[in-house]
Amino acid sequence: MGSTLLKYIAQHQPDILLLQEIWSAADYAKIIKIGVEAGFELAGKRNGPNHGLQILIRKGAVKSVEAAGFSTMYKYGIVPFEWLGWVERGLMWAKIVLSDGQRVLIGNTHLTPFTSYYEVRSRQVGMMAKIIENLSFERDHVIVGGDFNIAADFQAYSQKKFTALKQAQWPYALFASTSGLRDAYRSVHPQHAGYSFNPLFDPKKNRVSIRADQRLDYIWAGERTRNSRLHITGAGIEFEGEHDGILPSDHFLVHATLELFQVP
Amino acid sequence: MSWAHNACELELLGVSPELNALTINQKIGEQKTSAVSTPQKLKVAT
Repeated sequence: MGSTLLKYIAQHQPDILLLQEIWSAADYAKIIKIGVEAGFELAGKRNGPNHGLQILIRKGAVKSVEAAGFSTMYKYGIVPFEWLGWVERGLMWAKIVLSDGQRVLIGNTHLTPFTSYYEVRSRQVGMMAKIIENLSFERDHVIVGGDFNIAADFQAYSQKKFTALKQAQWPYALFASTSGLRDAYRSVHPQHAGYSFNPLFDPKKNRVSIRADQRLDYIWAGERTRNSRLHITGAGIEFEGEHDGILPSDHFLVHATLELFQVP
Repeated sequence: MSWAHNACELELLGVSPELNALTINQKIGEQKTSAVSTPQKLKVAT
């Protein structure tokens, strides 16, 4: 994980990195080390809730980080495996100020997985839209991303799977309408599927295959004042295949380039 | 709803959020010519 992340930072020079599933103390320490050495400020606290989230903000890309925190959706989950693992779902956030004074709310989340839990996710996106609304008071822009575990686009190999995924799809439209944010990838790629999840990935097996067939990871963005504008100039997916002989993750990296400005 | 929905004077109710995003993004891109200062670029990844 560490070497892949460092390689991406060196090659693409991202300003904001939204990371999920940093569960162990060792992984957390590794991320902190990588972030600090690469010139990033970290939004997350070491001893926070067990959400696995972190936001890395490149120091040179912003004027300041005004505040950061974590807003819970459910205290220790309502799905059995989350309750047993003391996993807390919510939104990690940071309020940043750009060099020209524009104020941006950054958010990172990881919603409950598995297709059958779509009703849980629908409640989560509803709560998240309210959290974003409250936090984005006096902000010019909002950028929220992460692993939403909602397959807006998918490919199913059986009627049963198709029906299940189709039924679980609607929280995507719910989040778009309640948050007022725009799907960055879809804003510039109307035709390409943009699958970001490989269900055949298994870190415990030596041999794994690639069959990307669901779009689960998103960057959402939008304006919060009458004069602010946010233009999505590019978006893409990285790490779909092997790197240094391994598959880095079951999720691929989704990225977007945004231009934030004000109009009279 | 974001302010851009009003600012662009788009009437897209009933249109899918994906098509909505595409159309609004194109309209906002056109407004860069009237920006009051240089647009600030941010690269975001997840």
